[in-house]
Amino acid sequence: MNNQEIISRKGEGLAANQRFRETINAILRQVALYTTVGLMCLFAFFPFLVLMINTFREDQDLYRPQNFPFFFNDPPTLFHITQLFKETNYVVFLRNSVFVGLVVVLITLAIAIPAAYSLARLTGKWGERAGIAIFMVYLVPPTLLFLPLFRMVVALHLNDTIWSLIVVYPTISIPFSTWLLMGFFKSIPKDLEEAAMVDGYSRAAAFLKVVMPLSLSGIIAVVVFTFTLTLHEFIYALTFISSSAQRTLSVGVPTELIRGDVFFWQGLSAATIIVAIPVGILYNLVLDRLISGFTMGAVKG
Amino acid sequence: MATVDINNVTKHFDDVRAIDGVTLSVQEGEFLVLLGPSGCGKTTLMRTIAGLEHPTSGEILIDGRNVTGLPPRARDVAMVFQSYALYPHKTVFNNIVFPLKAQGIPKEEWDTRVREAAQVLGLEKLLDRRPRQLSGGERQRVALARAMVRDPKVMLLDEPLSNLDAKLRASARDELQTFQRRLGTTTIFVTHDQVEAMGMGDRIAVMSGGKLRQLGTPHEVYTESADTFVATFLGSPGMNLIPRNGYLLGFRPENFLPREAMPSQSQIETFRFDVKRVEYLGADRLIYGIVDHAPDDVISIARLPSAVTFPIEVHENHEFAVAHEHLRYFDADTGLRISPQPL
Ligand SMILES: Nc1ncnc2c1ncn2[C@@H]1O[C@H](COP(=O)(O)OP(=O)(O)OP(=O)(O)O)[C@@H](O)[C@H]1O
Ligand SMILES: [Mg+2]
Repeated sequence: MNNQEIISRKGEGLAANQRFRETINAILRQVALYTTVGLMCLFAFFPFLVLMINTFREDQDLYRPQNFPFFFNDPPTLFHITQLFKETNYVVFLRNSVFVGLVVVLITLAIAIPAAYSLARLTGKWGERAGIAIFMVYLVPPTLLFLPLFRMVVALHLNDTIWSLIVVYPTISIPFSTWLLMGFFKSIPKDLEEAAMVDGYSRAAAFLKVVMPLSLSGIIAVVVFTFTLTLHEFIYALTFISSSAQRTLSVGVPTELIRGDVFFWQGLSAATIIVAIPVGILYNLVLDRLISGFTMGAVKG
Repeated sequence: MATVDINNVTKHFDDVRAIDGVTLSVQEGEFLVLLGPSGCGKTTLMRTIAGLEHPTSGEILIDGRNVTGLPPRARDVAMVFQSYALYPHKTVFNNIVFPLKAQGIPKEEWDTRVREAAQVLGLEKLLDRRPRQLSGGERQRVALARAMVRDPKVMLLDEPLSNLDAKLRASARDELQTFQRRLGTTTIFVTHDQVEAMGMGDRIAVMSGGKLRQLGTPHEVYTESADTFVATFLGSPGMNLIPRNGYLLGFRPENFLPREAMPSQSQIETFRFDVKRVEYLGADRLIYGIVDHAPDDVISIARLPSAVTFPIEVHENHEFAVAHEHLRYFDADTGLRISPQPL
């Protein structure tokens, strides 16, 4: 074995060693990554987990402090779910909420889309300022507005009906949606609509066939934002409505399932999780679109 | 096929006069090139013809019908935008079929017509792609296919070749021209590239500052330039202009040759030429210098073909000459061409 060979062997050994270390490092990095992701998921999912478990627990299981809280110490029961559906107005709240949500989404789209488009395209530099002014309206908190708005709702004879919410929610959702969609419409080159117009379409048709499909992310973002807003809005729902049959989930559930200082924990858990899971699944389906929707509006708005 | 008449059209954006009183008639089946420097109003004029801009004054007639107040869809004009403006959410096929749908053409014909257009432009393999999956040249061809598929009365092409590399550009130029000849569609083609304009146009309309400077065949605008703008804008380099006795004397660099290279029998005007710089361009030699009695800041250029091997040195004072037939005369104030003046 001459010197050359020894050196090259040594080199090979070093190279192998290095490769081994790199592999180990890569594996460690993967492990660290997935552990972190796993923990984050657990953290995010934890409330849902607790709710799901609590929904099916017996009273004595839930209230005994020495029991392990994240586990069924007694066999699970469907009693509280049955109670929720049979003995409370939960189904009515659910129906009201979905109805209010859908109608408000439709109203918002019907007004915000044309408003945003005209502000983005047709009014020159005042469009931008008007857009900002409209966005400012969104920043006024409902706590300031519920009294005057209540007077208006009464004047319209809508108090104590879900229609009061249908009239009032768009005052929050339209400004925000208009502003969000403005960013979208502005980011679509004018040339595209004009090409469609030269290709033989009216401005309205060009808008429907070219601008709308390209703004789908923004429209989805608006739908999600508006629907979520109507689901969790509390102040207006609480102050405008007093009969149980007209209530939506956000007020109905806490008023019916908390009586004095008695909390119907299992019922509350069930009421929440039944709404949260379908909404969560729905949002996940449009997640990519949703993210690009909100971020794009943010950058270009 | 149709004629287009532009009657004294102006278009102002606030205080910018993008088009300033243009009158222009395009003949049936003609390939008219609109040539001018950046910002001279070419795009604005096209948009006005297409109906995307409303002229501040004047009128537009297509096939003799006044369309000034009509929306784009009622004009039966197709346009290829400077940006191509392909619909990013549609496949190539759907991009091309889009105008057919608007024209109310029966569904059964869509497929044949799209495929026909795609075949002419070599797009058959790309019909399922989306615009962002195409190269610049392919996008341009899709835009062209979309414009021609409906067989419009007039095609407006706004610098459709400007995004292509030199080689593709040459072949696209060729294709486009053969293609226009075959269809016979009246076409207005915008460019700021004079080589393109010279090679392609039946006639060239030279614009500058929103005004039409000259309209004529490539040969006319080049050899009989109507004013100093056209004379200096066309040609590479443009015409030399030398102030003399209250007018401007013009001659093109390729006609400005060393005395020794001139045919002896022709009538010539000679100049002493103070050579400042020599540039070799392969096929040609450019000689920069100052003509005797001309102001110091008026650089003249001579363009010698490589066939003229005569050695010319920097700092040399050499005798150059121009044949009388190649001399042009322009008014010093208005820049307009005038009749021959005493030399
Ligand atoms: N919408 C507009 N608002 C204000 N000014 C405009 C508008 N459109 C064009 N202009 C101005 O009008 C003039 C002509 O513009 P135009 O786009 O027609 O030029 P062009 O000849 O097509 O130039 P290029 O070769 O760069 O495309 C320019 O000075 C431009 O700034
Ligand atoms: Mg242009």
